[in-house]
Amino acid sequence: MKPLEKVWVRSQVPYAFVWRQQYVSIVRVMDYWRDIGEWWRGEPELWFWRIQGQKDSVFELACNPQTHQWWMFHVYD
Amino acid sequence: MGGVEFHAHSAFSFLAGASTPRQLVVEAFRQDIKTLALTDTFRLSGVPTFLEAASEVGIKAIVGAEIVVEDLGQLVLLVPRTEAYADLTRLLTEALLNSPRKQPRVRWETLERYGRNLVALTGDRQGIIARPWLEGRRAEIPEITARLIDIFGTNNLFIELTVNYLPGDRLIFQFLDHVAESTHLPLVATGAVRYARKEDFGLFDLMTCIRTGQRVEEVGPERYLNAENYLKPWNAMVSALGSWPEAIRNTQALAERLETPDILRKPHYPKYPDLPSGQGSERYLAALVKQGAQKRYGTHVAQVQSRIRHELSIIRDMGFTDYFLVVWDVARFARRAGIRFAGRGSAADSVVAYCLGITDVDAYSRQLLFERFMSRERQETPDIDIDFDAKRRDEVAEYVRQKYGADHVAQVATYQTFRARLAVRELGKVLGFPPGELDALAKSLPELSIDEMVSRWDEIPELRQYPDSERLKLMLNWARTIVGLPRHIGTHLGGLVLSQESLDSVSPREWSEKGIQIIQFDKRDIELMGLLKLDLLSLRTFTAIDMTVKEIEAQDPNFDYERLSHSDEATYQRLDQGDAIGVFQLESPAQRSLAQRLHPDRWEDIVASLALIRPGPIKGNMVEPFIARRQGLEPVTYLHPELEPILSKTYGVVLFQEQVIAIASTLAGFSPGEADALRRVMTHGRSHETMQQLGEKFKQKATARGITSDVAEAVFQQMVGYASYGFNEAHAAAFAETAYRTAYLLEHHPREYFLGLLNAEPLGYYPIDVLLVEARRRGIAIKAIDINQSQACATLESEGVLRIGFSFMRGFGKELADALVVHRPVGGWQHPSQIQERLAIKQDQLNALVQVGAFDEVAPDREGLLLDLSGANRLGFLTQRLQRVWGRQEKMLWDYKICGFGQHEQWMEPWRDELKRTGYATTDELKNLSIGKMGRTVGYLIRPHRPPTRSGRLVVFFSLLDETGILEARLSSALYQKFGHWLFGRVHPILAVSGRMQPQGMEIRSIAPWNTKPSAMGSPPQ
Repeated sequence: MKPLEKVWVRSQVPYAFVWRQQYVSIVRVMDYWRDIGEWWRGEPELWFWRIQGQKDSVFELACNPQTHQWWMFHVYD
Repeated sequence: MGGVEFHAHSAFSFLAGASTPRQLVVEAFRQDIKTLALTDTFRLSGVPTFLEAASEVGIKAIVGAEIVVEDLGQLVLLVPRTEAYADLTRLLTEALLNSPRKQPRVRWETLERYGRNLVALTGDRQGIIARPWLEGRRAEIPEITARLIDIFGTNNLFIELTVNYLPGDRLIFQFLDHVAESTHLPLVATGAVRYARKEDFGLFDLMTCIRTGQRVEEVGPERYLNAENYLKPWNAMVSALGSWPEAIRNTQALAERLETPDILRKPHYPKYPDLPSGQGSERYLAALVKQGAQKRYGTHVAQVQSRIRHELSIIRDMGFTDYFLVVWDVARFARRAGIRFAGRGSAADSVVAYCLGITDVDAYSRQLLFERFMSRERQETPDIDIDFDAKRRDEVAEYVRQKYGADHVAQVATYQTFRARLAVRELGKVLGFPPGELDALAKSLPELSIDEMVSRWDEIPELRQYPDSERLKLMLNWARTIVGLPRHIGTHLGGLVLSQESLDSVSPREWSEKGIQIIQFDKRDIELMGLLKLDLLSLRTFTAIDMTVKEIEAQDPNFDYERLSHSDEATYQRLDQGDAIGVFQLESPAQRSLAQRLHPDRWEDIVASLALIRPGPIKGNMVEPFIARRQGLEPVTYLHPELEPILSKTYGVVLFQEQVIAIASTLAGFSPGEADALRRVMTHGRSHETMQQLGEKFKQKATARGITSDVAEAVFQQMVGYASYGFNEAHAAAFAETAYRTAYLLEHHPREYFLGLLNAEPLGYYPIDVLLVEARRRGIAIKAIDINQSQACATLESEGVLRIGFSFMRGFGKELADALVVHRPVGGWQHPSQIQERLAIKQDQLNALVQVGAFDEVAPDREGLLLDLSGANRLGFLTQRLQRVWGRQEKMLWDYKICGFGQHEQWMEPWRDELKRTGYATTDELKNLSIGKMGRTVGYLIRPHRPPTRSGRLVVFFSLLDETGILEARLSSALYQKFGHWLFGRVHPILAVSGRMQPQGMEIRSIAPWNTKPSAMGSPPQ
């Protein structure tokens, strides 16, 4: 998981972010889920978005809702 | 309108739900959820509490259950109105009784038969629609949907969208929406709730691991990905299903339509079926009581008439006439069948029960108050508890089943809840603690709440000794949250419910582990469900008594156990010496010590003793003042002359609950029912404010009757002081009968009584090893298991020698024990291989027979016999057969391993010379030391425990056994810090102790494990 420096959010839902110095606009949220992780080790709950960016690229973003930190979880070529 | 949740599991889904029904209701109230359904898996056990809790806070409670249809998937069933409740119970019963015990399934036919009046939701991802879709069985879905529509119609079948934020939800919801649209079925929104609050997820996940038998680090398909199965606020549901607003609308519309079933407190009491023609149950009961009264009271019968009329009128008004007839009939059956029994508990407060032969306590002569048992004010179902000979109790239960029909009778359930030890064992395993460490930890947990354990960690040496205490504390913190939650359902040992109509309309029935049918409610809930319970308890002491009496009668046909005098001097003397090991309820160290101070010489002393040695009186410091008054060392005074008749039998001390009732009635003019209500409020330690209000009422009423306000205040304070400690006198008197009689048997017929005790094991306070030491101490010769002399159980041989039987060997069932006797050849067994040839016996069982010396009379070299069976001798290569006769200590080790006791001698005996040389006395010698003298001894540790103390400090009591007897010991709070770890957990059971002798035993100064020296064969098994 690589940290994302900038994510734009509206009503807790991301609509754009910067990835490898490129601005990516989110065209569609394809799926959304939450994962509690290894809670017994103190891992936080993360929220995940599978989104479609412009140019049909598909990404999975993860966010810690407590700290508002964002990560790139998956990139589908 | 507020929120709705139609799919919620409580902890009654057993390890698949982490909150109690009440916790769910409280959280629903907090979240403004106005309609809540309880839908445990195949289970309605949580329903009574759920309905009660919901009605308290004004939540509309819907009853339901989650089921599995065939092997297709889950379906949530809801009861739309009262009349449909019975359809759900019948459906569950049919499924549960016709499926493997832990894998219930509902067949389509069952669903067709009972589902038509119910409402169905299609469940979450394990549901009947989503699961086939996820498993790629999509072609099956149209047929499943069609069958469901055929049963429920399109108005009562809902496609469920569960808001759990799982990957793929969007796709699944789209598919379900498509199904709904194409079949004209409405969507509905649920949270598939498994716990009340999001923060309860950790506990739920640990419970899932317990259920699936995996560690928390392990991945498994049944683990939940996230913490989203909590009761969500309604706005969260609305926002999550923004694309499906009709699901929200339909959910609210359904909530409007469904009703809370009106099923609580609707009596289903049985009718007595064999009334004489033309006689109603009231007349018949009155006639039976009259007849019984004549027998019990003879010429004095007139005196009890008004009391009997009073009791009968309350019984009639409360609707329990038939119940008394049912119980009378059961008692009559037992008597006719020669099954020993005795009524106990507050039923012994009833003269009617006494006249009907249900109890043996004369409530009239003892002036026991009926209202302690039942009253109009209390409006509770009375509990009539009867103890039966443990060996024959099932015959009684079978009689009831036959008489009332299998559909009307079932065993009551118990919910096995997590307690500290179980919680530690199960959670520790899941959290990865090594099994050995867990076992030791579980064994060493003190009798405190987990909260107290954590907060007092540094005061508990056996916990403090664990190196990774932070990790342990973390685990105990989890254990704290699980304690009290139900883990699985069990069978109440004695409780049978009887119902006028078929039980299927009241509760589902299922198979218990023992293969009998149980209902899904426990003893508290059956009352809420309007069911009546018969408590047919089993008491092993009666088994022991029965065997004893038969042995005595064989020698003395005139012996009449039922007519033993209550004033046998020798019996009281024996008790006075604290010599009561084996006596029912009077054998514990605390009872024996009390006897040595109380010096019992009359019947009432026994009744008082049974009430005194309880946590309440001990913590309330009642024992010593009582003894002082009984001994005449303290004057017996009464705050008011009217108290004398009530309190004289307990020397002015309020010892019994019945006395509190009598005081309130006599001094303040409370009706007996009101007085019992007062007693119950006091007993349950209500708030200071409530107590003050009660006090005012008492004083007002007492002063109105001419009692001065000072005296009224003092009497009230005395009642408050003792009410919470008071014991039920009727129960004490009922138990005292058996206690005294067993003391009589022990005194006058010790051989027969020890035989009875041994054959009724396990029972009583002490293990068999202690009983054998006691028996030997009384001059009874014990003979070891002998392949040609022993029977299955222990027997008396000529000259009163007691022979141990085969069934005392661990792992020897009754069947094998009997077979060894039945198939014994003429001339006897000569070699173990003969047994192997004739009987189905395992190698280790055969070895055990050799190891306990069963063949010693025919072939004393045990080693040789073992090698004959499976060693070098059997191979036939040797020119000379190997053999070796075992030594004394080796023989004893095998005795303890296989039987748990020494057949020939107690564990310490072989070391006596060595112990003597090194200055250790026997326990018997210590008892003869003067008070205050120091002494030291070595013995086998028995029952270390930390009972509640007045100061709240941790004090340990334990016993040490050697071949001469038993020594009671007390370890102070301060020294417990130093030596406690030798007593709890994985301990070495042979301890060397030193200390100062006190009247009640030894006040311990030091403890150390005592190791058997070089010759030794290790520790005795614990």
